[in-house]
Amino acid sequence: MTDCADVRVRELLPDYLHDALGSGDSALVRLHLRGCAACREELRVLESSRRVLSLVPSVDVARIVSALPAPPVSSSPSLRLAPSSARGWGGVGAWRVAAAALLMVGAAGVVVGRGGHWPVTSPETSPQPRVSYADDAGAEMELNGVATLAFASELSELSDASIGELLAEVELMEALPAEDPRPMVLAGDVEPDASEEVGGT
Amino acid sequence: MGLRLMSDVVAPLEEANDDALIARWKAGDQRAATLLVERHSPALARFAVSLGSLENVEELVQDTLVRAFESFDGFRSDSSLRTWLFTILRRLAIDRGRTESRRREVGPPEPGQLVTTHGALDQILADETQLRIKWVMTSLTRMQREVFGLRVSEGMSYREIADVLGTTEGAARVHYHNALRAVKEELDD
Repeated sequence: MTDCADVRVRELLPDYLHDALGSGDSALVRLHLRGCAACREELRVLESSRRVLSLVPSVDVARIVSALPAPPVSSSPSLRLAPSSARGWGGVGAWRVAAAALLMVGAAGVVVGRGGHWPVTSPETSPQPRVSYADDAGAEMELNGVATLAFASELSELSDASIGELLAEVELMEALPAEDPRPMVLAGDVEPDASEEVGGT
Repeated sequence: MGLRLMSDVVAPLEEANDDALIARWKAGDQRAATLLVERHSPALARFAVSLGSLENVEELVQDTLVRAFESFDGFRSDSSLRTWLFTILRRLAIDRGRTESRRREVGPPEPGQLVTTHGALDQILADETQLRIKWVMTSLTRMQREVFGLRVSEGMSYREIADVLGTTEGAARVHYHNALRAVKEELDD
């Protein structure tokens, strides 16, 4: 079998076999093949070789997949999957529930540590920045008059922003001295009255 | 409060490219892993055979994919995933000495032994031309067999082949033509 002298076309034959050429090169090869018995034969050899090389044992995809490592679940918002009813508590939303639960425990601990009640400013001086804690039956907590959380059923519905706000609130509460008898005013929410200055002399 | 991936909106998962599937798997979507395995395991199996790993193809393919999934962070998406997977598979095969052991075990079979030597696969190879090609493949050097397989079976460019095999485009081209000449000479006899 004599090789064709047109090296360029011969180099293109494997790509022609895989239908991977652009229209120009594909037309060039097709035209060349009409008049070149050596290249037609070479293409037949390549086709047969490809067929032989394709005959391999099949692999068990399911078995391979089962052997793969667990995915490192990303915290990137763009990659987070939609929580579904099928996923339930074990899915991506679980971390939110856990974070919210910790938040509740932390907030309750602060309250208990302060004697079971919130030292709040009077309604006259500070109507908005109040923090209330209902009993277990009510199980409802209100912070800053903004975020109202149903304790059990909707924890997984918390947004990132809400969790961030709650964490900030807890950190602020924990930073206050436990034995401080003075009314608590949340920083930045209300301008303290001069007569009731928090942390004054 | 359903958060959805952009790729859910743009295209079905089956049509997602490799990078998108890797991202989905990292986010916890096991279907993406299945699709990646389905997409690449046949080519990996073909390459494993060309390396001489006929009897342990599935094991080698599985080990390659496990290694890849463990180290996707090291995958640079400027090269194709398939090229990267081939590189891993080849390294594993060489580390285990499978190529050399196969060459020692198989040896040059007699024409009448071809069917029994390679078992069920050769029952499909009724055509004498294909039997001869299969035979001549065993006589090629490892590099010739790898280059020829990647070029003819996978349609890879010389650049991609050079990346997988750690050689140059020019050397890959020479190995391809030497392998092709050997095949043609076998068929001319």
